[in-house]
Amino acid sequence: MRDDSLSLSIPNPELYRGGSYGNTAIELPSAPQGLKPEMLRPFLKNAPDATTAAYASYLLALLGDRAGFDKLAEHWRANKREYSDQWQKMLYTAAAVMNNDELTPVLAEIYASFGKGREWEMREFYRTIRGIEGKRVLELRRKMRNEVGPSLLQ
Amino acid sequence: MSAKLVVSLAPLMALAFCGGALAQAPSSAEVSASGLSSIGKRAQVLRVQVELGADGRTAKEAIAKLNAKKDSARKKLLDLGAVEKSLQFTELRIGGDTRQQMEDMLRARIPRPGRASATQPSTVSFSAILKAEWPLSGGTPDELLLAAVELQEKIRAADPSGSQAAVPTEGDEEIREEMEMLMRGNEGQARSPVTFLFVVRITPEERAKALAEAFEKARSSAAGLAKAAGRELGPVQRLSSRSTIESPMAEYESYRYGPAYNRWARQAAEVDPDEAAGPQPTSVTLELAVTASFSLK
Repeated sequence: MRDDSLSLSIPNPELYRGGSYGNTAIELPSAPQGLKPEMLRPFLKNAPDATTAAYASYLLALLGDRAGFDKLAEHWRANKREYSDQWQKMLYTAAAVMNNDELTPVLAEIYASFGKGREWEMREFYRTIRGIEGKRVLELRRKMRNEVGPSLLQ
Repeated sequence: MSAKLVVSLAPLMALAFCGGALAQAPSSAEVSASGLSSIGKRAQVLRVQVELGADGRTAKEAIAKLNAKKDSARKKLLDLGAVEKSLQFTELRIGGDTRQQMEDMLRARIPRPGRASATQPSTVSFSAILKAEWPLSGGTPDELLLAAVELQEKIRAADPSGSQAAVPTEGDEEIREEMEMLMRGNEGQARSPVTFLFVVRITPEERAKALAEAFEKARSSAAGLAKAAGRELGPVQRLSSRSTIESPMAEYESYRYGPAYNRWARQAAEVDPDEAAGPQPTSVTLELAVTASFSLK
């Protein structure tokens, strides 16, 4: 960290890799060692742009701090893409890391945003959020299974 | 469309019309053809296999649980009228039953934030298969069908594998829902760890008659082909046959080559050479195909 800037290099292949995960769990990312929430919080209010704030929010989430989650969700809504939606993936990965059932409405919003024929992405989404505990997220996953069918679990 | 399952491939070495032809020097020109014949009979026996599995933190614990399941399954099948002497268990195998394997797979897929999967307790699993038979008796085809379906329903309802008995926790409930979805596919029966096979005995005379018919069809077809080429059939050079049975596609359609289908196919492959097997009680069909090669004169 230097002055008001923070430079981080994060090996985070989970966000970019494709293909099948087979029968192993999707590996949830963790924040870089030594990173602390107080280093990131200033970027929620004083980031030079929305993208920087969203990255800071994501890193905060990896540290278990949901202070920036709404900002990350806003950034995703403003930058939705039909294919290879990086912010979508960061958003639900952040929710999975925090294991917080209160974030389920945002996960439901993500699920609703998948277009037809996006089964691979839905499968990845399902498997990423599969470890979140709570009644609401259980219901969301059940809804997904009922609506998508067995291919969701392939 | 009727699906077929190849269960054996056996060379025919003793057909009378082979004579000494096989000893002759092979002709450079040959003609080959195949003929089919089938034997269809009503099932005489319902053969059932129940997959049993158990796991534990130690091998001893797992085996003790499995033995308890074996005792329970045996009693349930006897209570339902299984022929006592037909009851037999396979040797124990390392590794769980299909359901256990699926459960392990689904559990292994659950991401654990900040926790390595190694933190989950390791378990050891064993499995075994219980085989049993019920005689099926006369009446009209409809009566036979009704009796067979009712018996199948009773066996399923008895849950001889004990797989429906465990009371799940909240987390386990979701695993169970996932398992049922994966194993059920688009129909409701393939998830069962119980497979059913209808069996009938084929007499040597019936088999010989069918083989002769199939050979005659092959010979006739080969003769037609030879005639088209301005030649005549010489002696038989090679003969082979294979038998196929109807596979249970309606029941296992969405999971062909999946665990339930594979279990059924393994069970079907175990029938004796003098038996035929199939998924329907009213018509167990054994199809025999003969391929014959003749030298050309």
